[in-house]
Amino acid sequence: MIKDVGLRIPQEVYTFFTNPGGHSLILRGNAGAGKTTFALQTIEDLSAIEKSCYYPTRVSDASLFSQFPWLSGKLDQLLVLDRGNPKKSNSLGQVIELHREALGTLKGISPSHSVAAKGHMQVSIGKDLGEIETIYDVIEERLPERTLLVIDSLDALAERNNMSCVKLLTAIQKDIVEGYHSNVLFVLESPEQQLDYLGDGVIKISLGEYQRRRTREIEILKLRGTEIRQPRYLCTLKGGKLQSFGYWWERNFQASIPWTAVPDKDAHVTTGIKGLDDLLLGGLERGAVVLIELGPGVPLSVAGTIEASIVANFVAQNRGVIWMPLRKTSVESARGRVVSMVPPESFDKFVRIPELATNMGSSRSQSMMPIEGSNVGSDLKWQNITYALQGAESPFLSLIGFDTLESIYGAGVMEHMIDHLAAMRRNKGVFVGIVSSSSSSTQRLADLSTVDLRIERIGGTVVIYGEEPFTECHAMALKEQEQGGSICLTPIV
Amino acid sequence: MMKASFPDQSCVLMVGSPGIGLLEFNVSLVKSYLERDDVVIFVALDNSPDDVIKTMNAFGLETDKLLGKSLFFLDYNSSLLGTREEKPTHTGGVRTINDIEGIMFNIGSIFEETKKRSRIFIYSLSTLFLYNQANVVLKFFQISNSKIRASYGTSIISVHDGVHDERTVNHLMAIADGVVELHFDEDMNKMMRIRNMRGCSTSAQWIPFEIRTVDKGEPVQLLEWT
Repeated sequence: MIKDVGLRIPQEVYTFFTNPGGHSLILRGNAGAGKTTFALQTIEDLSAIEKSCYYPTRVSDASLFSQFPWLSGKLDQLLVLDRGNPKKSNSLGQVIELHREALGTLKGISPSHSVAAKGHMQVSIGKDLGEIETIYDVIEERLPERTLLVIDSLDALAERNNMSCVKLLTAIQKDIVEGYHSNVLFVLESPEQQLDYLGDGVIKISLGEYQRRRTREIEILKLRGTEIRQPRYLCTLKGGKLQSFGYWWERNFQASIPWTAVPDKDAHVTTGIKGLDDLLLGGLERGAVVLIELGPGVPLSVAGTIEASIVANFVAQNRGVIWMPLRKTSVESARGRVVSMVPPESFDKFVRIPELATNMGSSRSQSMMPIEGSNVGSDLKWQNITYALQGAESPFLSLIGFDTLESIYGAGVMEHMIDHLAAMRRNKGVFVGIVSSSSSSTQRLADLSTVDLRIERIGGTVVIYGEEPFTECHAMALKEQEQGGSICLTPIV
Repeated sequence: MMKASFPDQSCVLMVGSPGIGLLEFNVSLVKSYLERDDVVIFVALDNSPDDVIKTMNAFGLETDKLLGKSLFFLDYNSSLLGTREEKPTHTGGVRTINDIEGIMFNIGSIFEETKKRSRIFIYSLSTLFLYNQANVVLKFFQISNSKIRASYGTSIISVHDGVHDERTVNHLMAIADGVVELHFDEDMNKMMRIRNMRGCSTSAQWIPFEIRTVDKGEPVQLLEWT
């Protein structure tokens, strides 16, 4: 089982910086891609093992704290170099700080031309590289302790000191990374790759679009000495923090907390997945017809976990469920996926899984609901359902895997499903149809559905988004939660 | 901060463009010598000792504590300008001289008092050229350097660039053990190089230097543009 270690940056980046010795990482991307947030998140994720020195060159300290309020709690690990502005008294005799550096530049007057600071003089051999020398001082003061130095951005620092990025990066690489064995994260404002060869590692962060929805992606181009298991990570900047999403679905995750039912909100019926309820603005309306489309490459376990979560939450509330699992899963196998979350007797009492009577043979399970397999309308007649689910409370759930349904009744099954859908709607139940990319019923079901959700795989990350209602992409991950299943949805913003 | 490590018992000629900060460069060297408990004798020709002391104070030197102990001034400036006061400002620390011979006489006298090798700064030789014939100054330069090297320590003698003919400057360079050049580049950046230093390998590369304020304080507006 994967333990949640609270790491928000990609695992590879964490490993890279925690390897012995010093390492330099170039982080590049277009404006607004999330470079600063990535840099600050790296500081936070590494804060338990090494102190950090963050040097912002373009963003003022005050605005940095307003953009990232959580930063103030990390002040003991951050060093924001002080660049004092000249002060002046106003008409009331109050001392105000002057912010006219940029205006001075527009006027063609460098502040150093018009202002002379008081204090002791000295002759220094070499250029006055005040800021850069201060950075060196900070790193040297902390030796032999390793420091994570974040320069945001290298372009701005080089520009202010009238030197090229190549020269500055080379100098810091040689002295601070190789000499002092400290870690350095260079943020570059340009997505160009000219400097890539100089860093030990290179990461590109970019804004993208998927089905007219925004995505953010971290691409690991190079990490010297570190195995790159996942080269691309989808990520979000929700809450001013970066969260990257790994290949959760490839791993063997098992929830260790027993299922706790998610209660309904207002008039809505909960899906049992809190994130999905939020995406649907509270849950499903009674009488809803829900279409869940699975895109190509979506792992089997994703659909299985969604099915199990929805079923478990209905069972936990003593609600009746007609469940035709995807991929013609056997009754025992389907039951096995859910009884780890809810009591087996509840499952047997409140869940019915349609099974061809001809295939049942001698194996009889209380959850089986025998069907003839020739006419879906009569097999899933409302009277049959209520009879099979005696003692269960409403609303009922009809959860149908259309690959299984079409394998029994044929590709034109939707023509005969109308009565079942109408009955579910009439009786304020919830119908959920799960279709794959090869289903013949998708378009017809989409026409009838009140909710249309799509699950796709972007890179290694599984995302869900709503066509109806229209929603942004939400990344799906597995995480222990107090209520509902382990499926966690995070909006990609 | 700059630290001087010129060879002991040598004569260093410092050639600087006007406005480059030759006095500040000298004072910075004075500071580094005084901080390691050397005796410094400053021969003031271009400026009065008081002016030089102010500059030294700006560099953080506590001249009050040093004068007469490890810092000595030979004030030839007052005599040249005819502004010599009856009573010297700093008794013992500042000694007034009236002629070129007085320089070496007083250096010898201070050496006898302190019994320590000294760092002797002459700022600047250009002023001596104003009041004396070139061959007289060149002779003084040669003889004084010879004596200082042999008996008193190290001399750092400044001369302003571009105000003397090339032959004179070449002569001075030939006599000196080492030459430090200070000039502005095309972008008015201050640059320096050690042109040569006897017994040492030097690079012909010009390197930048800056005269700056290190302690933060309330800034002073030199040009009001608000």
